[in-house]
Amino acid sequence: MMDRGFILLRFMLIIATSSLLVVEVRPSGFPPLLMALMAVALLSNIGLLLLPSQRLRSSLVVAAAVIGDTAWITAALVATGRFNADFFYLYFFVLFLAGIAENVRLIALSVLVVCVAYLALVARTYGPEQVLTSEALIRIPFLFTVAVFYGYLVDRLRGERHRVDKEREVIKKLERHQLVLAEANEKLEAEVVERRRMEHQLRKFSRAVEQSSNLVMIIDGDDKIEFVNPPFEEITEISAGRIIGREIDVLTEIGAPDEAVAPLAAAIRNRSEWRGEIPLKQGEGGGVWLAFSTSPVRNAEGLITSTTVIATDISERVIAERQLTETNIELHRLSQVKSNFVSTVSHELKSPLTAIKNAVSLVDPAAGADTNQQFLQMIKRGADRLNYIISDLLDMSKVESGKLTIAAAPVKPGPFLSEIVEPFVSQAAASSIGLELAVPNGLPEMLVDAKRIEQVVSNLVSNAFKATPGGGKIVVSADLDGGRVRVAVSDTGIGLSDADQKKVFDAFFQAGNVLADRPAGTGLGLTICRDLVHGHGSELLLESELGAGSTFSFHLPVASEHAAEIVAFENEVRTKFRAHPYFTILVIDMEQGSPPAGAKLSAGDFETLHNVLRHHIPRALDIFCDQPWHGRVIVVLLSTPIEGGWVVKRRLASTLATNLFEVGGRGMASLRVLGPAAYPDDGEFGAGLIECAILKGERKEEDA
Amino acid sequence: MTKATILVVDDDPDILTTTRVALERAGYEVLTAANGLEGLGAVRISRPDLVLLDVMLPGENGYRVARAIREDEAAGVYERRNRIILFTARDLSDEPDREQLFSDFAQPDRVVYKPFEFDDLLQQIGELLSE
Repeated sequence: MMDRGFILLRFMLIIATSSLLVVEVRPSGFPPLLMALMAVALLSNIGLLLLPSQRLRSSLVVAAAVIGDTAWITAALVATGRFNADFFYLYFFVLFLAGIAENVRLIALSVLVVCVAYLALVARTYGPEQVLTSEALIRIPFLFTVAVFYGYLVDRLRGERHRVDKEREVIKKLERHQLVLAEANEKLEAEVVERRRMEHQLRKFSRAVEQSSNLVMIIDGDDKIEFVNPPFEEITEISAGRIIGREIDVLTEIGAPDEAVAPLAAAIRNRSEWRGEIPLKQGEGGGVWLAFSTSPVRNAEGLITSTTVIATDISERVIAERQLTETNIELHRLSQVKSNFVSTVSHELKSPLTAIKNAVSLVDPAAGADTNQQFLQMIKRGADRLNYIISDLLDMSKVESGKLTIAAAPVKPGPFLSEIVEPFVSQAAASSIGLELAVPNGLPEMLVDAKRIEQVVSNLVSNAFKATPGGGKIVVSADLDGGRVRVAVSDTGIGLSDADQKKVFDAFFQAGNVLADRPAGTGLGLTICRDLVHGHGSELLLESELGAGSTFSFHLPVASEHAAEIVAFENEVRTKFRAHPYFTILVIDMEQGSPPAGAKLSAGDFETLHNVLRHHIPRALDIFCDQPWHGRVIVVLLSTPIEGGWVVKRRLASTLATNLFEVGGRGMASLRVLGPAAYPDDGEFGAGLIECAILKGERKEEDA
Repeated sequence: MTKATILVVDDDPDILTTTRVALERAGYEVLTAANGLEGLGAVRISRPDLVLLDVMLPGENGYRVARAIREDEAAGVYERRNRIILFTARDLSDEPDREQLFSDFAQPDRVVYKPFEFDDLLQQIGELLSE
C-alpha cells in the first residue's frame, strides 16, 4: 500500500542515494548523467505527490515506482563507476522495496529483478568470470533471503495489523449492531406483549359478539356484509352464507319492506349513524321486529373503513304493543257500549219513574176515590215496569258474565209448546187474533232447559201480539230440520224494515212503529232470548218483511245419546269464552274422564275444556270455532287420542289464527310441539313447561 | 180570558195522562198526541199556545218534530213563534257540546228533564206564556 509516508521515504532515499554518490565521486567531479537521473527521480516523486490518493494506491503505480527507482539507481551507480562499492545501497534499496511492497510474491519478483540487474552489471563491469566469484554468489542468496524474510515479516505484520483493525472494527460494528439489536428486541418484546393483550382483547370481543343475544353485522368498505353473528342467523333464520358478500338490501328477501330497509341502506352508504325499527318475515304470530343501529368504524388514520350494524329483537315488545293497542281499541269500544248502555238504561228507568212521580203528585185526598184509584194504578204499573226492567237486566248480566246455566233435560215438543201458548189464548180472543200451534206427531224429544226455552217462546209470542193488529194470525210451530227440532213463532203483523231487523236484537231496541201504545216490554226481551238460544247451541233467526209479518226461529238439539254431551260442551265453550273476553289460554283436554293436567292447569290462569266430544269431533270443532276467539286465545291440546287428530289441529290453527300447542299427542309424533319429554311417564303434565312454552311464544310451523 | 191551549206529546200513556190532569187542574186546555207525526199534525191544525214535546218518541223523535215546527214557522205557516218545551230523560248537561248541537237543531224554548216536578213545569209554562 502506497501513501504519503512512502513518498516521503522515497525523497529520503533519492537524497541519501544521491548524496552518497556525490561524496564518492567528489574528487573526480560531478558526472552530468548523475545530476539528470537525480532530477528525474525527484520530479517523478513530485508527480506521485500530485496524483490522487486513489490512483497512488494502485499496484501498477507501485510497480512502476519500484522499477523506475531500480533503473535510475542502477544507472547512477554505472555512471559514477562506483558500482563495486555499492552493496550497501543495494541492500538498503532491497529493504526499502520489501518495506513498501504489497506482498511477498511482489517482493520476491522485485528482488529477483534487482539481483539479475546486479549480476548483469557485475558481468559487464568486471567481466563474466567475476559473476561466479564467491563474493557475488554469497551476496545474491543472502540479499534474496533477507528481502523475502523481511517482506514476509512486514506483510505478516501488516496483515496482523489489518486483521486486528478489521477485528476491532467488526467488534465495534458488532457492538453497535448488538445495541441496535437490543433496542429492537426490547421494542419487539413490548410489541409482542401489546399484541398479545390486543389478541386477548380481540378474542374477548369476538366471543362477546358471538355470544351476544343482539344481532351483529359488519359491513365492509364496499357496503357488503362481511360478518354476521350466530344470533343473526337464528333470529332471521337465514344462513350467513346466504347473505355474506351481499348488500344490506338482502333483508328485503326475508320479508323486510323496501321502504323500511331504504334508510338503513342509505346510512350504510353514507357511513352515518342511524337508528330505526325494521320488520322481517311478517306473517302469522306478528313476525320478527328488529331495532337497528349503525355506527361507522374508523381506522388508526381516522378514516371510516366499515360499519357495524347492531340489531335487537324487539318482536315481543312490538307484538305486545300491537296487542295492547288492539285491546285498547276493544276496551274503548266496550267502554263506549257500556256508556251507551248505562245511558239507555237510565233513560228507560226514568220513564216509569216519571209516571210514578207524576201520579203520586196528582193523588189528592180531596179528589174522588175513582180518580185516585186511577193514579194508584199508574203507580203500580210504573213500579212493575221498573221491576221488569231490573229483572231483565239481571238476566242479561247473568248471560253476559257466563253465569247463566243451562240445565238441559229431554222434553216432548208438543205438550211443552202447548203449555207455553195456553196463557195467550184469552188475549188472542180479546184482540181477535188467530193463535195456532202446529206441532206434528212423532217429533223426537228435545234436549233443553225447559224454563229458559219457555221464557224465549213466551217472549216471542208476546212480541208477536204487540206487532199484530186485530184480524191477524200468530203461529207457533215445531218440526224436524237437519237432525234438530226447529221451533218458530211467526205472525202476520207489521213486520220490520231491513234496518230494524239488524238492530232488533240490540238491548233496548224497540221497533218505533210497533204499537200505538207504549209497549209493556223493556227492550231487553229479544236480547235475552238470543242469548238463551245461544245457550242451547243455536242461533235465533229472524225473517221479516215490512207489512207482511215476522218469523223468529231457532233449532233445538234432539235428546239423542250424545245430545246432552254436545249441549254441555257448547255451554262450556261459550261460558269460557265469555269469562275471558280479552285473552285466554285454553287447554283442550281430549282425554275423557280424568284430566289430571287439566285440573292442574286450571288452577292457574288457564281455562280447561275437557270432555271434548270425542265422538263428534266435527261438531265440536264447529262449536268451538264459531266463537270469535280470533287472535286472543292460545290453545293447548292435551293429546288427541283420535284418528286424524291433525285435522283438529289444522282446523283450530287456521280458523282461530291462534297459537296452538300440543302436549302429549300419543302416537302423533309429527304434531308434537313440546315433545315427549313434556309428557312424563307418570302421567303428570308439567304445567310449568306449558307455561314456559306459552310465555316464550314458541310456535312450530310443522303443522302449517 | 180564554184558556191557553197546551199540546202534550209523549208515547208513555201514563205520563201523558198525569201531565194532562195536572195541566187541566192548573186551568189549561190540554191536547195530547202519542207520537211525533200525530203531534206535528196537532200543532198544524189546532195551533196550541205551547207544545210539551217528549224527545224519545217512536218514529219522528222530539228534536225532529220541533225542527219541523220551526221550519214551518220560517215558511210562514204560523203568525207567531210557537212555544216549545222539550221533555227528555237523557240529561245532556254534562255533554254541553251535544246539548248545544241538539238545541241548535231543534231550537226549543226550554228543556225539562224527566222526572220533573209539576210545580216547576207549571212555572216554566207560566213564564213562557206571559212573554
